[in-house]
Amino acid sequence: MALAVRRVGRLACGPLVLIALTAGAQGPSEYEVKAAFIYNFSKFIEWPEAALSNQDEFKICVLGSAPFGSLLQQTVSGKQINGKPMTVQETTSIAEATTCRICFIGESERGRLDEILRRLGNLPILTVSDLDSFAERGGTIGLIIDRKRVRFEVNMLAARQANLRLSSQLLKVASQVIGRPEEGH
Amino acid sequence: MMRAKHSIRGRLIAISAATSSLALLLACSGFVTYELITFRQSLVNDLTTDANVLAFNVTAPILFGDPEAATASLAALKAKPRIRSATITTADGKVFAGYGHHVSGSSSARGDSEGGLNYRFDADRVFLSVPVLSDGSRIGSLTLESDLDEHARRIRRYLLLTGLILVVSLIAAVGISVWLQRRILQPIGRLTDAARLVVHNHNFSVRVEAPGEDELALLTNTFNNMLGQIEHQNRELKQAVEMRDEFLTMAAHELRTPLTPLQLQVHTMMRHAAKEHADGFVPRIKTLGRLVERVAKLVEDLLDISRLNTRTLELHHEPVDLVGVSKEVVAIYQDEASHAGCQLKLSAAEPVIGIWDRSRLEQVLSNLISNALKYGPGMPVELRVEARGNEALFVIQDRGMGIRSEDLPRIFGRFERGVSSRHYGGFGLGLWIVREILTSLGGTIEVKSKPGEGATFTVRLPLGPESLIAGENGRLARSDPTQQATPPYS
Repeated sequence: MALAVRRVGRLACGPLVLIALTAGAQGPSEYEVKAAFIYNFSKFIEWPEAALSNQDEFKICVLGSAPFGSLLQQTVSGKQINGKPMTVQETTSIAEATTCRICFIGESERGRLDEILRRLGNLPILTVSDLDSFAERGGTIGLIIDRKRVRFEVNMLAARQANLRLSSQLLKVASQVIGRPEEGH
Repeated sequence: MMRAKHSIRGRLIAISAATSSLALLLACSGFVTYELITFRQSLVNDLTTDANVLAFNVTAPILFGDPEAATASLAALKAKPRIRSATITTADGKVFAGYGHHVSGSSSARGDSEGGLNYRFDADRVFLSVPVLSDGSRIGSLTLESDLDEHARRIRRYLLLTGLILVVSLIAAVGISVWLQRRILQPIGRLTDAARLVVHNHNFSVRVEAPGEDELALLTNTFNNMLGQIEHQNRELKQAVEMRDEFLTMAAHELRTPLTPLQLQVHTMMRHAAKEHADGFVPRIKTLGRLVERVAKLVEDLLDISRLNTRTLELHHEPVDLVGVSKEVVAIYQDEASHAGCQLKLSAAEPVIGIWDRSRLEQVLSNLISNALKYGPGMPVELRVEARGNEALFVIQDRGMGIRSEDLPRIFGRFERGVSSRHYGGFGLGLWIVREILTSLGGTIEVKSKPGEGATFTVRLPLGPESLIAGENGRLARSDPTQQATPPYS
């Protein structure tokens, strides 16, 4: 059932199916998959026009420590959203993260998660993290491991607060949707 | 004639039926072919639309590795019963999700490497693949399998419709051709009837009505004109023949008038010459007498011909012994026979008595015997007379030159046909008189001959009027017909 994707670049734009997370399996690593997920989310989400137009690039921030290495950089390399090139910025500053369009919150930020969400929550920023119960705690998309597969949960309330429009396609694939609107989006 | 009529009718019907069937078949097959092609195209278009919508819907499941979500998207195909199966394969050819009895990965991914629209028609289904795209890159493909039940239904409907149209138009074509055939064949039928009247009744006064101005009317008018010309010529011909017969009768009478005194004069001269022992003159006067006899005979023949032509031949029926008459005539011709070197042999066992005209019988026998002597000189001429049933049989056989088979039908021909000098006084004249006389006596004559082997003439005469024979015992009638002989005709 596992799809072997040998190259990260291919992984990012190509099909991601079931990811074998077992050690020694010749498949993509967990963070390869997560990097691809982060990139793929951008395809199913609409940012407010103003948020995109006042910047020259589409910034993806990694707040705190995360074991991506150069994987995320490789994944988005050469990709564009609305004609803006995607870039990756690693930072520890919440203030710096406010200029990002996607913010991945790393393991190290567990302690100040509430503060981060409070400060980023009203901005047009897609917050993503693999911290436990991230979506339930107010993050927009939480990455989880479900039966050895990387999946994600969506918090629609957070998305609405951030003024992001999530495609129904994305919601269909989500393992859980918090605050699903009655009429869809 | 009816046959020919039917064959034209059949041909007309066949022509119109064949023409309309062919045109219809061509039109229908073109129509059906076009419809089927259009239908296939629209089927492919519909399937492509469905497949593209599905492909869009399964983009996220593929990107986020969620086959359950993809399967749920495919489940929407339940609303489209003609789609039997759907298969999603990833870019490397692995099956990602399926619907229905989805086919295995490798076959469903057929042609996917091209990345474009791809379809294939089987006998009863069609496969169609579309790529699943994300950001312009192909991340997989979706293959739909649809049955062709509607296709088959449509074909059946078209075939049924075509068949119905064919049947209806065939009926119409046959109907039209029957109507046409009436219009065309009725004038032909009238022409045929008129022609039949002309042939059987020699009625040249018939004319055929010709309505309209088409070719048939033209033909009918031409036919009428032709009849008119024939009628005119026929009238002229009859008038000419009448004039000729009139002239013949007149000429014969005019010729006979001086002949009787001439014969008397010859007899008188003969008597005087014998009395005055002018022996030198006797043979010459005899020759003169024979010549006068011959002229008298020819004139009599001429008179007979004109009588027979004008049907004014008078017959005097009386009981006659055919054997006796034969003996008398043979006796008369003995001299001539010995001149010709012929031996006249008459064989007759007992009298053959019938009701006939004696002098006409003599004429018939004389003609036949002189014919035999004329064409069979130096050879015996055999005569035989006998009764056979209700008939008298008179057979005369010579051993002369015979008659060529191509001349046989001509020898009883009419005077006006064999008028050439070669036939005058011989065949054609004499035999025609013979046959006409025998016909008026109710008898027949026939001839058998081979060139070089002579000729055999057979005369058959009924013994008397049929009422006489049928009413009484045949033997009585034959043995002594004189007692009851009351000839009904005279």
